[in-house]
This record gives sequence, C-alpha cells and structure tokens, in this order.
Amino acid sequence: MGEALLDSLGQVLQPQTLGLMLLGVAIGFVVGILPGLGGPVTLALMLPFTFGMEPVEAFAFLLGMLVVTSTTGDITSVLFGIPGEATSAAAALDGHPLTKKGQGGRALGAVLFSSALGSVFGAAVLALSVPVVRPLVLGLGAPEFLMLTLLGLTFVVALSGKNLLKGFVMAALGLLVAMIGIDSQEGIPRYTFDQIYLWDGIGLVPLVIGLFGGAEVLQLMLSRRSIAGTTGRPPSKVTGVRQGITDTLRHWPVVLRSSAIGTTVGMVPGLGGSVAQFIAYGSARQASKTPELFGKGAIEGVIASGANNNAKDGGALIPTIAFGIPGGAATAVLLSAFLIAGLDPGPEMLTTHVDVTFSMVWITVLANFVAVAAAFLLLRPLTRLTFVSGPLLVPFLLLVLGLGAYTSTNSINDVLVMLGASALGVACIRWDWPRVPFLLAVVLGGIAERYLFVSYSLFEWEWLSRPAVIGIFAVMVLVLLLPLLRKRRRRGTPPAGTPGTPSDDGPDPGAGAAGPTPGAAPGTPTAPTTPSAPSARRDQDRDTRPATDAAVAQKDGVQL
Amino acid sequence: MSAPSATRTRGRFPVADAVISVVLAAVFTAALLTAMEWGERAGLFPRIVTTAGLVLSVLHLLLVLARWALRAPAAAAPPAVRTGDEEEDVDDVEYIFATAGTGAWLRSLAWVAAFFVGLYVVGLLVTAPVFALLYLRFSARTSWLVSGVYAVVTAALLYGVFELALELPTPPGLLFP
Repeated sequence: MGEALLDSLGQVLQPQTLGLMLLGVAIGFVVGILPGLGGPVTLALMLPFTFGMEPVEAFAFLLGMLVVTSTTGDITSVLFGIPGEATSAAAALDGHPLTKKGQGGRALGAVLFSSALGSVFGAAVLALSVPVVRPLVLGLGAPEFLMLTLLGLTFVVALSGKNLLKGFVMAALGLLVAMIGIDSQEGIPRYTFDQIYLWDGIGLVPLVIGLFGGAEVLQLMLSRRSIAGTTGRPPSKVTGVRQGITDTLRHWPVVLRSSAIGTTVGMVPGLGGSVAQFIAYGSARQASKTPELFGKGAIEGVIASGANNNAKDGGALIPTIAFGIPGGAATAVLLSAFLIAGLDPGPEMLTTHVDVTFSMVWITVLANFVAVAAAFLLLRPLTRLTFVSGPLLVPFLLLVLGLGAYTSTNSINDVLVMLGASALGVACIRWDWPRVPFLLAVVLGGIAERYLFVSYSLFEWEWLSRPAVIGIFAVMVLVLLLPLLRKRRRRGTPPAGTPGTPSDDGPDPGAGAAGPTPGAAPGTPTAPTTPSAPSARRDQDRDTRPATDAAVAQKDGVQL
Repeated sequence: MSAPSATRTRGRFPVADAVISVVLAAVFTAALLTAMEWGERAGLFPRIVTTAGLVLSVLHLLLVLARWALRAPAAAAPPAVRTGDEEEDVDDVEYIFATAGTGAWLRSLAWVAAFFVGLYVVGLLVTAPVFALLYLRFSARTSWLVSGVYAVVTAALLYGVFELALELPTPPGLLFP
C-alpha cells in the first residue's frame, strides 16, 4: 500500500497533472466564493473538457476543483453570511456573527485551518478504509438509512434550543415542501397546483440562496452599514487569524469529531454534505460548555463546520469508488468522469486502478492545502471586503442572488422560489422561528420517504425492531433529552445576576458586545468590540436591555 | 380588573407566534386533506408529515396562549422592556429587522422589487448595471462617477465572465427572449 501511495503521489506531481489541478483549484476557488454557482454545476460544465485526459489528470482537474469549493464556500459564509455552497450553510451560523463583531480574521483563520485539517482526516480515512469499508456499507439496509436521515434532522431540531417545538414545526414544513413534485412511487403530482415547473420539486439552490442570502441583503439595505456592522475604516491589518488557528488547535476534539462525522456521513449514500455539516454543528453544540453562544459567534461552531465540510469529501468518495454509489450530487456528477475516463467503479478501483484511487487521496489533500494557502495570502483583501459600505455591495449581491437562483434550472420560477425563500427567511429571523430545521427537512424529505417506502415494502413495520434502528433511535432520544437535562441541572444553580454564575437564559458569557461580562453587576455593559460610534450606540443600547430586565426581575423577585 | 388592564399586566400578546401557528396549522390541514385523496403508496408519507405538522402547530398555538394566559403578574414587563429569554436569541439581523422604520422597509422593498421586476421584464444584463447606477446614486448617495464606474464594471463582469467565459445563461427578460 505504501508503494502504491508513493507511486500515485509521483503521478499527481507530474507537471501537466499538477498544472491541471491548479487550474481546477483556481476555478473552484472562484466558484466556491460565488454563492449559488455550486460545485456540482461547475463539475458538470467542466466534464466535457476531460475528454482525452488520462484518468489521474482528469481527476486532478475535477476533484481539485470540487474539494476547493467547500473551502472557499466557507469564506463567503463567514464574510457575507451567504453560503458560497449549500454545504457551507453551517459556517454562516457562527462565522458571520463573528465577522459582525469585527472578528472576521479570527473566524477565517479557524475555518480555513480546520478545513485543511479536515481534508487530511478525510483523505486519510479514504486511503485506509477503501479495502475494508465494503462489508460495513453493505450491512446497512434501508431502515438504518432512514433512521440516519431522521437522526440528522433530530440533531438540527435540537439546535433550536428553547424553540424546540418551533424547530419541529419548521421541520414538518420542510418535509412538506420536499414532497412537492411528482411522486416516485405512483407518478402522481403532489402539491404542484397544476404547475409543470413544480413537477421536479423545489430546487435546493434557490431555496438556500433565498433563506440565507435574501435576508442578508435586506439587512444591508436597512442598516446601511458595512457587513462588519461599522461605518468606520477597515483595520490596517487583519488581526485574529493566528488566534483562529490557535482556537482550532485548542479545540482539537471538535476538529476530530467533526471530521469523523463528515467522513462518516459523507460515506452514507444520499445524505451528503448538506446533512453532515448540521450534524457536526449540532454535535459541537451538544459537547460545548457554552452552547448558548452557538448562532451568535461560537468559534467551535466555525471549526466544526470547516473541519466537517472538507472531511466529508474523502468520505463521499469511498462509496463512489468502491461501489459506484455516489454519496451526493457532486459525486454523482464525478461518477460520470469515471465513465469518461474509461474506469469502472468497484473492485477494479481497488486492484488494477488502485493508483488512480490513491491519487484522489493526494489530490484532496494537495488541492485543499493550495486553496487554504491562497486564501490565507488573500485574507486581508477578503476581510477588508466586510468593511466596504453595505449599500455598495447591494447591487452586486442582488445580482448574485438573481443569477445564482436562475442558473439552477435556467427558469425564472427559480428566482420566484428564491424570493419566496427570502421572505420566509426574513420572517423566521424577525419572529424567531428557526430556519435550519426547515432547510434540512427539505434536503432530507425525499430521501426519508424513499427509505421509508423501501423499509415498509421489505419488512412492513417489523423494521422498527431491528437492533441498529433501535440503537439510532436511542441516540435520537438522547440528543433531544440532553439539552433539557442540562437546562434542568443549571436551574439548580444560583439565579442569574449572581456574580460568577452565568445563566442559561441570561446574556452570553464572553459574547463581547452582545452581553455584559459574566459576573459583572447588573447594568454594567461590556465595551463594544467595534469602535465606531453608531455601532457602539446600538450595542450599548442592546447591552442595557438585559440589565434592565435584571433590574425589573430583581425588583419583582423573579429569575429571568 | 378590566380586560385591557389584564392584558397590560400579562405583557404583550405574542401576535406573530399565534398568527404563524394558525397559518401553519391551516397549511398542514389543507395538505392533509389533499393527501387523503392519494393512494396508499403516494399518500403514506405526506399523511404522516402533515398530521405531525398539524398536531405540532396546534400544540405550539396552545402553548403560546397558555404561556400568555398563565403568565404571573409579577413577571409582567412594560412593552418596551424585553425579557432575558428574548435577548438570548437577538442577533444583529433580528435587531435591525425589529427596529427598522416603516419608511426604511418600504424603500428597501421597493428597490428589491424594482430589481426583480426589471430582471423579469428586461433581463439581468440590462437590469444589473441600470440598478447599480440608480441605487448607488439615489439610495447610497455615491457620486455619479463611482455609480457609473460600478455600473460599467457590473455589466462587463456579467457579460464577460458569466455570458462569455462561463457560458451561463442569464435571465433574458420578457422583452429580449
């Protein structure tokens, strides 16, 4: 195996192969940053160019491009709150709040470094597990796959925290949206309202762009400030990058766990990165000592998203290579490249063409390191983007929203879907309904129904008694009960406002501008991290509110 | 105690949560009734999902009403004061959406509507640069020069990168199909 690995490295380092990989990395870099222009779409567009290439060259170009989109997609998520890729949505949840607090450099340092580590993890697992993974995947049946999809959904609903019920309602709404289109069992149109456009269902790309990007653009228009939330000038140098790297090293268990989740879920056919990112994010939140910071700028959330996002590529390649079963949309397109290159996925890839398989391991690692290095070099201009006046970005971002939605299926209806999703996203933010359970349910709905149908057809309801199904169900229950138990345990601690005792429902400890310093007396606002006057006034205004609440509560003898 | 007084004592009624719950319950009900017309194979999953959605949204509505009705007078707060629970989920975007004035909302939505109506009627190639010029000049108050350069760069980027280099079709518009 060692000799084969070295041999494949030699092939990847051939000048022409390396050049093609760098070209793929450059394209992937740009595509990842542009929201909506996804990796699978670009892969499909680039497939014709691989005719006549050697297999390793073709994969250097295509795979180099694909794995980099995940990395740079995170950059857009962190800076703009608009996921560059559907698989980068989780990075926006905490990365963008950090950017708004003026810690964009730290967030980028963390997400990029964890991406590099995640890619190494995924590639290592790919290299080590290819010969042994077959019996494992073949041992799982439709019932287990169904439970895994439900587990993913449960993790995300659990993210809703005190809005657990709202999370479930939104998940149900997402599943309902996922059912729009022609039913695959009987071929009847469901919830299509006689619209042919809806026969193919609601596109994920316009939905993701609208839910996350639409609200962000409207916020820029309303606030008329920069993305960093300040009208001041950008800093002369990017600070916090090293801190982001240090944070990543300090939170190495998060990196390992998220990479493992990414690789494992990436391996499961049909689940893919859209699911993996939220499971890793939910897992990081569950394990965190400060889960209340998640969604407001928790560095563990950023690290989990980055590590998971790149590790999943290695995992997704395993079933693709070993069984010809694509792990997701991108690997489904990549599967076409096998046929173009004259390769048959399966045992052949582990024997006669094992050099091509191992070359994929090297390409995954090298392409990511090149992309991360380039991103670190460009960090300063990328971070300075967030200090550009908000209104200046609005025309460009609206263009990206419209174009990103339209290129999904070249239909103006996709733009309408994006606008509808934007309205939903704004309403969710405004009235505190969680968006992510809805999105994940849309992603998982079709898969869950398919596995349910197969499970029922094969075993009727007896599949519910399979040991693995019961085991996964137990994990689901645990995921839902843990936050409640944790909250109950904390209620036993002294009330909020007691020095040195952060409250679960109180302001964020260590949230900087978002809340008072833990242990500080009520009414003592933390100094805003952003120095500009309007921002400081706004933050100060916010900081005084919990203090006012604390005063009212203490007066009335009620714990908030 | 009069009703309005009781309302003040209990705090503001969570209108948005109640309305959203009712709307969602109505949507799930309609979807469930529709699903009942389908065969078992096509209708099994929709029935499970819509029933669950209906039960959950009604349950949420009842909880919202119960929390409001049972809220102890001591916990009452003037409408302007937010509870710690609410503060927990406030982020910048939520804060901006909650505090922006009606005029700012109307202006922003009008600009967004203008962009997408333009996209639909004359296509993205025309709309994007024209919108950039007008929005930057009249909303962002940048100079004609900056607005003009921005519009030209937008048009060049759109045509050069997306149309020519990437050969991605852009929305053509009704007038230029």
